Amino acid sequence: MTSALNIQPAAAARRRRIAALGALFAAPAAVLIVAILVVPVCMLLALSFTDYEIGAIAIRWVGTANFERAITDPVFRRAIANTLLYVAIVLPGGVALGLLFALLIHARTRTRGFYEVVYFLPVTTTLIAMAAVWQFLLHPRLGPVNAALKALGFSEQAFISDPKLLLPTLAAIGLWQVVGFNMVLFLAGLSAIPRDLYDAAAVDGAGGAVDRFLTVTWPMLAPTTLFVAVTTSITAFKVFDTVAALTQGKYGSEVLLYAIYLEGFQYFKMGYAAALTVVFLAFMLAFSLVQAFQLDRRVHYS
Amino acid sequence: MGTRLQIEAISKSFGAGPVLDDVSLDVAPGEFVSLVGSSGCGKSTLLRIIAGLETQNSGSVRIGDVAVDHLGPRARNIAMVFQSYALYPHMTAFDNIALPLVVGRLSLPERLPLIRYLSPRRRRVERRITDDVKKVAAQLHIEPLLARKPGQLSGGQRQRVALARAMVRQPSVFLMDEPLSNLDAQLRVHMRDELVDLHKRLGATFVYVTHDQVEAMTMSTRVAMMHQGRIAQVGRPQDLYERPQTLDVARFIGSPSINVLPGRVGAGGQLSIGAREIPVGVSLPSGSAVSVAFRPEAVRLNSASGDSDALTARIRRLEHHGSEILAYLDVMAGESVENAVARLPSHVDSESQVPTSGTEISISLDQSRLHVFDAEGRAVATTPEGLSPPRIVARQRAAAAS
Repeated sequence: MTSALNIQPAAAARRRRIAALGALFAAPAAVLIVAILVVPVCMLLALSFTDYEIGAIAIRWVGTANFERAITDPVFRRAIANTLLYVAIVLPGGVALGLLFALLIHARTRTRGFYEVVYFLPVTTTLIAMAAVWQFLLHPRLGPVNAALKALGFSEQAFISDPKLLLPTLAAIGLWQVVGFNMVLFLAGLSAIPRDLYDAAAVDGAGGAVDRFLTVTWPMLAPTTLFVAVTTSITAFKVFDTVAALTQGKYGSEVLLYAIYLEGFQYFKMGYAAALTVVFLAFMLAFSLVQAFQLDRRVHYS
Repeated sequence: MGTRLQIEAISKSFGAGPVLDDVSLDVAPGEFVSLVGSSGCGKSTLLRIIAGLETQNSGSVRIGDVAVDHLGPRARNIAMVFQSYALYPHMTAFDNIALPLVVGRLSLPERLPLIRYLSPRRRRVERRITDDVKKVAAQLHIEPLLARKPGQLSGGQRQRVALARAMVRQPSVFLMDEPLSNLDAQLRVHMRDELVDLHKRLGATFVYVTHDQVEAMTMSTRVAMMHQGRIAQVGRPQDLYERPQTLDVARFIGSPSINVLPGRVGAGGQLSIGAREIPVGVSLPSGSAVSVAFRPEAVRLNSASGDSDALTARIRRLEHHGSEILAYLDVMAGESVENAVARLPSHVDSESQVPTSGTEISISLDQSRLHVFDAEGRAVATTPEGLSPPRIVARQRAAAAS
């Protein structure tokens, strides 16, 4: 009893020493995380409550004025609506087409390499450079797309200046770029499915194309699909280069990032741009949380 | 309940080399036949062809006297148990077992999400499926596990779920592809017992692929040993052990494996090992080189080297196994020194019968249990000297018939 009492303070001191040592070892990483990740976000938050402009002498605390302005700003509201529409097309389309192409290519033996390279090419190009090609392809009078439409008896379409067609066109270009990447991810997921499972499905009577897909392929691809969905939605939310290169935000084509770019780097209203960025981050965070917590529970990781 | 399974002249090649070369096998209803052989002998390919997972280049598979070559795996009314168990990892044990019934008894629309609620009979069918799954689960004692997913089950439990999934459809033929090789040694021996028991209870036809000759010998009614895409020998386990038709079969079956010494056919067809003449006649021209094979239990250790057919050997090592002693020997066979194993009952008076290791002794071989193989590894008929020719022929006929 007495010995236990004597030992306890010594043990507590040792625990404190170990804790201090642990903190010392963790310090470099912790400092880096704070400096690189936490401080910038905090600065952004702080800026969003000011009227800071690049080159301005004074900086004033304006409270929530920036956010109040954002809510009523028709350009920003349009940017949010446009971005959500863009994501609504690119996210399901990118996942579905990536999966479809992967399924079609996976069974090929000799031509698989060729298709992989062809579908992956758009991923390796930069959209700024390819925008010139798209601009030519979709040109109202000179473009081959409109020439084809005319040859088939349809009327010419102004893909890039018609507000109704504008976002679907941008989304199609976004799909064009994202599908190859998703396809490669799905191909990797497909290769990891054990062949025994397909054999078992065939013996059990689930060997038809639909049954095989629903019994084996789709459930086994769920972790891949979740990952593809998260990366695709992040890519889609960050749409910027097509807008900057093809429309410069004209014809009502503003998206979130382009609106932020305009406010911050064209009009130098950094405080307002920071507030918009906070809204953008909130969107991304909400989306990622939903995907991580809602979908993750239904995904089976083997 | 069991069904006859006939494999008729099956050949299969992947690209260059043939994997199966004119394989025929007739499995009687309710039989337990093992396909055994080293890896790459074609046994798994043959099983996959029977299942319909692979298509043969030529030949035919008949189940219950009906050719099934044009039928898919499901329509053949077979069940298969895989080495990896191949359970669907995202489904519970219950759903895994129920799947063959769900797919069989409900149409595709009745299985699709949402649309299935439109079917008036779905409820009734599902209730019957639940009953059937529970019945099979009770037979294998896995009822408490039905709600778990494969990831939460041990190897032996997964094995049982895989068996239940195979049994639930009441197939006439069970195909098993190394089902025990992912289990630890102790569990493997236990499951061996359970599988034999299950085979007896179900009365179904079992075809069992394994690379483990002990599994094949202990479980099956007949063993088909495969070698390089052909069936080297089919027969009861004791036939393969006691009358191997090729040196490959002799070497593969039995543990410790059979002893092989180089021999020669002398003048008058008498067998000799080194300088020693063995009183066994061989029906090969004199001067032929042969392999003389004998089981460890066919070796007798003599302390005195009196017999003319005795060989000289040195005991390298003794292994005490409790019920028996294995003596590892260096046998002088003419110029060369060959390894051999002798199996000695441990109850013999070890003072006089089993010398210590390192000593030189003489050994003699039980001549009735010698196997002689020609240069191609085929078994050659032998005649114990002293028997008159008609009796020898009669003995050989009797041996061939059994």
